[in-house]
Amino acid sequence: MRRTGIDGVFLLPAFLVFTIFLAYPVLSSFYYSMTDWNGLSPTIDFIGLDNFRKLAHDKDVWKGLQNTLVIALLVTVLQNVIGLLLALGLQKTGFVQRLLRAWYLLPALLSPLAIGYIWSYMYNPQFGVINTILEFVGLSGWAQDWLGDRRLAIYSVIAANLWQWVAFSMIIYVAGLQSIPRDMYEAADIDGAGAFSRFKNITFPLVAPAFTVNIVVTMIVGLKLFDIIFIMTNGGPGGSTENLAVMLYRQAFALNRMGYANAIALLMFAMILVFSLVQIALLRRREVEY
Amino acid sequence: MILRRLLTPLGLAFWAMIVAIPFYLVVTMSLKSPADLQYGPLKWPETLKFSNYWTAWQQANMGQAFLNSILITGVSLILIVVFSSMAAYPLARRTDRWSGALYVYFLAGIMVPFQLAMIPLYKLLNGLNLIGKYPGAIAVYIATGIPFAVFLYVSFFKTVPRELEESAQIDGSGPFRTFWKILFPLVKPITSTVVIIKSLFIWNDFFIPLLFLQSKAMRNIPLSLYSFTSEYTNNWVLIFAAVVIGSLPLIALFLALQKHFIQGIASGAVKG
Amino acid sequence: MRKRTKAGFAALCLTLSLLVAGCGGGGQNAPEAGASGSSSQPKEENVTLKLYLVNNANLNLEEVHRKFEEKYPNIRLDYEGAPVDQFETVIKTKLASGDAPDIFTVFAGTKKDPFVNAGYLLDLSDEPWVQRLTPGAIRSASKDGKIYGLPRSQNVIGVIYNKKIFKDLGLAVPTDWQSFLDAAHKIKDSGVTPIGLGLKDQFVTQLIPYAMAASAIYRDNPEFDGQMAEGKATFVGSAWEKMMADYVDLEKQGLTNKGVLGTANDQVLQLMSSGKVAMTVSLNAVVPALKAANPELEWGMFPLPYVEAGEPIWVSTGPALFAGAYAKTKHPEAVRKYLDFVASPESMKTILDATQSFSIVDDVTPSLDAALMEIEPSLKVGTYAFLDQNWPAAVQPQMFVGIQGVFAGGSVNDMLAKMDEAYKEGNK
Repeated sequence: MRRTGIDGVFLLPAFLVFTIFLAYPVLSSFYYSMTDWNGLSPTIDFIGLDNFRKLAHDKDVWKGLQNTLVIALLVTVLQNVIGLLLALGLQKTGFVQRLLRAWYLLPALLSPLAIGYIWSYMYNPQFGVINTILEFVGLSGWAQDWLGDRRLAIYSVIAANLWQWVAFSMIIYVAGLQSIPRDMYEAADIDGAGAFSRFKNITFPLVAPAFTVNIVVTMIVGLKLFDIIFIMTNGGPGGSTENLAVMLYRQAFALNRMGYANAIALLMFAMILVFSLVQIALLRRREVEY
Repeated sequence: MILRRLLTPLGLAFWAMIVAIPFYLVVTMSLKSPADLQYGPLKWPETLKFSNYWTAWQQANMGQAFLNSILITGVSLILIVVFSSMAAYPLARRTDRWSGALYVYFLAGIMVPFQLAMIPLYKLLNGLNLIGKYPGAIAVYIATGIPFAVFLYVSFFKTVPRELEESAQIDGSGPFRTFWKILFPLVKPITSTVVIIKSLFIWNDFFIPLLFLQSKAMRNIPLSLYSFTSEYTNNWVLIFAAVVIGSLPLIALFLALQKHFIQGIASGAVKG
Repeated sequence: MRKRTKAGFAALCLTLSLLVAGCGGGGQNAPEAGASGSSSQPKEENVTLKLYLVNNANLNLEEVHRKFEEKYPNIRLDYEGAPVDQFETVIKTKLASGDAPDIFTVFAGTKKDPFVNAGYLLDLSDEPWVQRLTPGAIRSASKDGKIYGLPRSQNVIGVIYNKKIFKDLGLAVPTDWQSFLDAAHKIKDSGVTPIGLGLKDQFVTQLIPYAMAASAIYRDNPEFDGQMAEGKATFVGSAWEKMMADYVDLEKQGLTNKGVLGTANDQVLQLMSSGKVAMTVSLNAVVPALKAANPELEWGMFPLPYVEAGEPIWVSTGPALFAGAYAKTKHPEAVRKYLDFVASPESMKTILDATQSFSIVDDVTPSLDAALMEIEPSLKVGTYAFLDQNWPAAVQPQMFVGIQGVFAGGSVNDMLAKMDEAYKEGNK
């Protein structure tokens, strides 16, 4: 009894604020997924599962789902691969290493609005920075309409996101690498292990906790990515960068389909939940204690 | 072998440059005159127009915006840390079904798409008379900050040996004293992680203030950028000047606390 | 035991203090505070009007508001501007939550209809200024014969061009499509980009089709919108197919800037002010921005001649609304006073001069830039409203995405079919 009382006091503030200001609004918004509400009218009709039936046949939603998965996959893979590579280069603790780590982290301090503005000037096809540089180094054939090309736009957005956040993953890996006991490498050297086998057999298993955190966090962020897409392309051109998060926003507030938008939101939530649980279960199993 | 030796510094230098170019763009754009923009973004400004900063500062009332941002971010951070660390402690210690369920309940908060909770949330805050008031926006930030913070704190508390609290209790220390005097200082790395990640989000967020604070006097830094946009055209020079001004405090804070920043992010995640 | 309870209570207080501080009415926010000059008019009640309008730095509203508060010292204006990208989201959220401002931006034409249907807009039909409005302005502000917003200005879509480039190449203002294309080719041959097109901003995508449709559809068949509403006409199979083909062709023939989809409108204006682009199809409202970027250049504006030689050219024009009022406002009298003040010839002229747009009332003549004076006579030939003003609200966003899709290589038929679908759904 005593324990429960104390536990309750510890839990109560967080529980109350979380329940009142997040859980309750989110749950009550899910109710709208079973209505045809347009987001404005005072009358709301209950229509059962109609929105979900429509969802299954909506080609745009499938396209949005596909974009969501592509973005999440690439954000996760690129941010972790490049993050790990940078970390491997910076794991020593010298002055230059510290300086570079700080430098790499600077973009994370900018607001999404600023990122959107900056990169629209980077990517401009006519006088943008990237094409200008490509021309300058004699690669004008590589110049592209980075945000305007239907096939490229999604990668351009992902690249800008990578620019901003890769150092976050890097820092977590650096810490993981620095926590590896030196003598393990020395032992491996005596055994004559090559660089790759050293990485595979010692480094990688031991940065596994960092790996778990990085993968799960980047994936959830990737699946929910909204701000940067909304500001850079607003889902365009022609829907080619529209993921579920941007789509439900457009459905709700531009197309006046609040009910339908909430059905999409529910789909998105279910998907993230399943992905996260599966991932945590899989990745936890790989971790090594030492 | 030589190639491999070169590869690392070259790769690192390459990424350093990739980070540098957009920053060069922001800074030079913020110093141009509107007429200068026509020569493309890479061109060095004809004359360095430092007066842009003053104009942006005044027109967007950025002094007030700074105070607002500091107030909102500061109070939200303190309460996120206090509430989440307290809640995480029993969640990490108990093994019964209730605490497991509660933990998952908090975690699900990381995964929900927030955009649509806005209308019910607005109704709620309106009903509580919290629209256009700092506590309303702060409450929303705390609620959205709790899940991730609880997640980090719980994993860290699990690594803290029970013996510590038990010996403290034997010495006659009550549970709250034990928590704040002994356990909370131990989880300092997580606290810095939470503070860093959440301060980036809250400082840079424009949506919640736009919706829930509204009045010009309560604008935060990102919202003040909007003072330079119109229906069909934007004043880019002043927007970039405001971006520079608005980012400076975070950059200064970051440079000053660099070591803690980096340790904070790292230790929070790795031990978790 | 006692210690525990105390600390627990403290934690609870922290939580509650959030709510309490709110209920107590915190610091900065005291909108009901009276205006300072009120003592001279003791009988009049002090009121504060909440205004929530789309950000428009060019509107010079500060000037109008200053004069209003001088004239009505008992009415305080609490004015907030919202970024255009998020305005609809915020206003819909506010209205749905029952926390509406007294006066807010209303969009012209059918875009306001969902707001009218939901009962959020005050009927302004009996206001004195209604009598002075042009017929087009009345149409754009009304639904079912009632007026729901105060119009602000008449916007015009036309070709804004660099006069010096035209003069140097000996080009006359083209009056049919073929001569327009010929002129563009000549400009291109001289090494200048003929047409600036910034489709990255969604609102730009519609400008050329609207300008085309005025001549290609509505000049000869003003009933087209009515036929669509009755389901007798659709986008598929209409002149839209040819219009879209010709629209895309501008890019295919290399008459536009490179990468139209990745270029924003502001960037087009920058290219124009440096003389690298000769023309753009845009709104009168961008002329002040062009002037500001490079005061030395001279601009002209002519109607987009999407016609055969000798045919009359119609111009796409649309009234922009200033604002409407909340149906359940607590201060209807003050609201009416405010709108009436904005509608006064003096205020109207302030706004029109600042935005460089045409008047929607018959007793105000704004001082307009030479470029705008150039297109003014064309307005008398024939005009048609911006098309979205007569469509169900969801058609326009569908068109934005569709046009970008077509420029990215998608099919025109798909785009028009989707617009038809959105039309049907919205027309129910």
